Amino acid sequence: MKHWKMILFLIVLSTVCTLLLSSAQLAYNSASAMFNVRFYRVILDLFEIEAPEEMTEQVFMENFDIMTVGGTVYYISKIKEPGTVAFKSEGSGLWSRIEVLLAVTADHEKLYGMRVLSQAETPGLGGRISEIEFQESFRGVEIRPQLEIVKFASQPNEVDAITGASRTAQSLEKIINKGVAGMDKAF
Amino acid sequence: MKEAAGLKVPQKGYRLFKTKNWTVFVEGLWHNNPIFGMILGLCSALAVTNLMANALVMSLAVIVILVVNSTIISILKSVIPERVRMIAYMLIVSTLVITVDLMLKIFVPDISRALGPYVALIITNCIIMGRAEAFAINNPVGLTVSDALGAGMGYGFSLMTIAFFRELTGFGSLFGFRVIPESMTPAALFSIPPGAFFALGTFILIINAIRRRRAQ
Repeated sequence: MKHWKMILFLIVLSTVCTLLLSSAQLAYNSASAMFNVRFYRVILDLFEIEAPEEMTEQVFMENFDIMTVGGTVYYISKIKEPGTVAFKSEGSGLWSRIEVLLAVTADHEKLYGMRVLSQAETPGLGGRISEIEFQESFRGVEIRPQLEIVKFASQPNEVDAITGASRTAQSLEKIINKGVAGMDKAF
Repeated sequence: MKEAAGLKVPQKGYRLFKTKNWTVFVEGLWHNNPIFGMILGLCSALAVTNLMANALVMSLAVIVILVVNSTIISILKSVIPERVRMIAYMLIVSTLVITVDLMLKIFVPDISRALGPYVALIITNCIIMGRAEAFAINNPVGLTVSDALGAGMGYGFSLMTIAFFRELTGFGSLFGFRVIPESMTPAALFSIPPGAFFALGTFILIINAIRRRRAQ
């Protein structure tokens, strides 16, 4: 064996690296429970329910029923605005996956609120869907027959679009209506 | 031990500035700066400089990975068989990068999402491999740390300077704080990818003009 030293070195190095990576992955897995808590926090904020940081999960469970229908998880409010349904919807935007959180009122006629959970659209243009002002403009907008994002909103089912971000707005509109259609099927 | 690439250590001045460590450090920070000296690692420099916060996290990630990687390789230099040294670099840097990527996902999820694949792409960043092959493999640990810090901070300095101007012109803010009044419309061109090319080109142009003047 001429190359035993080389082989031994690579075996040892790969073993050490594998062990390190496995422990990093384990640490990541145990921390990912945190992501759930962060998502609960977004829903609580949307419903303007106050909760101290360390009680997030507990307060969330007291306030919401969790129901899974056809692969989508629905969070139904029990105390504040009872019957309001919150759920995630996602789809492709211009450049990226856009993930939104939607809340629909108990009569399933209006949006209670909307939050963009993740996106990587053009900064300064489509990326502005992450701005709180834009997201707040979805409060109380009717979703029948369909929600529409248009240039000058005048109807109760219309929201003002962002200049220079037509494609992102179109995608967002599609994602929201797809989510609502899914909810209609589930309930 | 080989001489560190035939560097001239200045004979006059403060003691710190006379050390070899300092000379090696400045070499990476300025004369052989990865971005405008060696024109390396441009892909990430173009992609993550739209916001200062993104550039800062990316620079810190590169500095940490560069220093740790170079140090490990410098320590192991007598053990690493010459014929498989590239494989060894790859294994070590991949382990480091994936670990740092997971840590960023845990601690700064928003910025991690904004950086997208560029943290994972540090594995193939020429700066890391370049410093490992050109310096760490045949220099002592102390000098290697200076070299890695110099190159890493040179990269960070370039990224932060570009990001400063791109965020200022593209968003009118710095680190997310608005510094230009709302009434002025920011030039969104600088926040989108084509703007990165203009900003980087201008940056290298200005730096080269300064360097040429100093050389005369």
